[in-house]
Amino acid sequence: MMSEQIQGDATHPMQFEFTGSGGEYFKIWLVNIFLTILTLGIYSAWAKVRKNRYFYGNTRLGDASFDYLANPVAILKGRLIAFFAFVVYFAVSEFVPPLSLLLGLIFIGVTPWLVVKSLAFRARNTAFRNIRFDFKGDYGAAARVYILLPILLPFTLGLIYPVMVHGQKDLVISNSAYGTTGFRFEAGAGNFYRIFGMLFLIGAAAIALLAMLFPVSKEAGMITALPLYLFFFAFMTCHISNLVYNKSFLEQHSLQSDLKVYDVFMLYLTNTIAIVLTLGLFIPWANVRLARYRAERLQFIPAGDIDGFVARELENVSGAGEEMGEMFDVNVGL
Amino acid sequence: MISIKGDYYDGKTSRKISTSLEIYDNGEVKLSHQDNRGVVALSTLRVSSRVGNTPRSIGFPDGGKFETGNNDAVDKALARFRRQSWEHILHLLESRKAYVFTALIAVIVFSWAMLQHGIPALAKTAAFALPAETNNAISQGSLEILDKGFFSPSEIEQDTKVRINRYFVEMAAKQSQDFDYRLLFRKGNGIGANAFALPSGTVVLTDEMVELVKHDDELVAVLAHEIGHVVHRHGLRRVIQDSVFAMLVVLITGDVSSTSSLIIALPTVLVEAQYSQGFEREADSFSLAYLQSNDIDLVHFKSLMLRLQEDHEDDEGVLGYLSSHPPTAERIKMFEDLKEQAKTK
Repeated sequence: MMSEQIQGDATHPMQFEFTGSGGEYFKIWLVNIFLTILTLGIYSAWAKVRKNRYFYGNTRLGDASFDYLANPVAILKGRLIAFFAFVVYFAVSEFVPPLSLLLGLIFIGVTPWLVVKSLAFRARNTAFRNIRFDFKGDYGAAARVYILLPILLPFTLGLIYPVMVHGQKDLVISNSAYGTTGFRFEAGAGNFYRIFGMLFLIGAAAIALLAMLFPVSKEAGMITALPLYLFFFAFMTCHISNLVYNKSFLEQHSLQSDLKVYDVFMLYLTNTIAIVLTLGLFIPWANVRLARYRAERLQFIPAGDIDGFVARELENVSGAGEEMGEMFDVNVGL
Repeated sequence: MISIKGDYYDGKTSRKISTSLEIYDNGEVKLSHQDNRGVVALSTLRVSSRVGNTPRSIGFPDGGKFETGNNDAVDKALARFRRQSWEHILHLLESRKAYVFTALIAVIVFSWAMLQHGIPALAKTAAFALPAETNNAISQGSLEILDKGFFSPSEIEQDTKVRINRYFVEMAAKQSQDFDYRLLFRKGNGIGANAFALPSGTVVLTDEMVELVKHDDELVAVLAHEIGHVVHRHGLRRVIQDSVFAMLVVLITGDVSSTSSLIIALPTVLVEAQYSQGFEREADSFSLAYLQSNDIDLVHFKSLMLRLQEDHEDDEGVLGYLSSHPPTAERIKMFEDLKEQAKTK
């Protein structure tokens, strides 16, 4: 029996790697769209699975790749429920506005459930070395950061926004596990206050600049607004991603993310321009470029042997939560 | 015997074992690091379908998994020893340039046809199939919002209002009685010279518009344009078009959720502007037809357009495609064409 030796230690970090290519993904992406149209949307569930399998399968860490295991039929069921809910919500808010308030309240109440189900579905369908991830957050914890804190936001003039974002990230990471081994999140709300403080200054400066430009020339204002928006977005993504990865621990193992604002900004800018110029055909390359860059800047720093993670027995989770969450744009990504 | 190199994970711990999958000529397989008790038929194993060049996994009944990057060898063995699942067709579609190119053309043609004809036709049919009261339902609250946010009470003299209202009543009497036609006057303030139609049949005329025109027949052209919006159910059609478009975007790009929303927002703005321009053209031709059938000189339509252009001089140029109204030159051309037609008759 040949067993792999320890693959790295604190002095030998393991590098994440993305091995996909834009050209190869373009073909998958296009066939996905084509079959989705041809089947009046039914295929979209399979399309999602193939897309995720492509991205997970090409994300490698120390000679092993990630695996996306979701069953397209579970996703299809979720999508049908979400689609029906979307139609009802839209029809009611257009034609019976008073009732839409009630529907809105119901939707708010359901949100934490959607978030929890969606995170569990995604985690349990992600595997590495044939060990699945897990998520065991509950409704109460999700309700605190997806209902209570958002309601308090206006009363605190938005000052607790960093606390809310911290709580949402903490919900994801502290309740996640690889096999039976739980993740730990060691960032505090203070870390988030620093980032949002800087974002506030950048945003204020950008608005001031635009306020000066627009009266001079509408065109110049619009042309400047795009890079400013992308820079703001790149700054936020980089700092939050880096913070979240760098403060996440799996036992004594850790992650090291080193995204650079300038690199991400240039990626966003060139991607956006190329997507607009190609009427969307560049989207697959844009996705691959981002995935490659993110992997390049991410390392796993093992504290020792990584062969000993143990799997746990899992029950199946329906796709309904994840799909409905996606449809209504509940943002739960890292 | 074929031997495929790869890694084995037992599914109980994360330990990796480098091994090979040995496939015998009778279709049975075994992992090289295991003894003969591990022999099973390939046809009973769960083999993942191929996605690009991502690693394949072959699942054993005990939960163990063999992973290999050697896709071609796996495909060859599968072709020989077991029935292919329908999903292998997907990889075939995704890997042949000719198929992908065909799909590309089909997607482009479909998107264009849907945007240009499908969605507007669908919305038109649906809007006229719905009961007329639907138009009232979607108008609720709009006037209140405009009154609170933009308008103030009209300062036009009562005589003028009565005179203009007479044209309006005369015009409304000749139209479909599905709507409750009402003419309201408001001071537009920041909005300036403009007129609005609510889907229910209420038309709002700003004081600035009344002051801008030099002839009552120009106002008749404005009112006819607005009534054109009402009888063609543009408000309802816009709601339906925009929601069908949004649903299509979600449906098609649903698996590109990671893309920044800005990239989705830009085409949405463009498409909605194009649809809006379509409605304006329809309302213009309604207005021209009304003038014609009531023996009003069409030149009033032209002078109205020129006056409006002078008044809102900033709404053209590069941003024209994002504008809710067609360029003035084009609107005037419609008038010129009609005049030509009238002459040749």
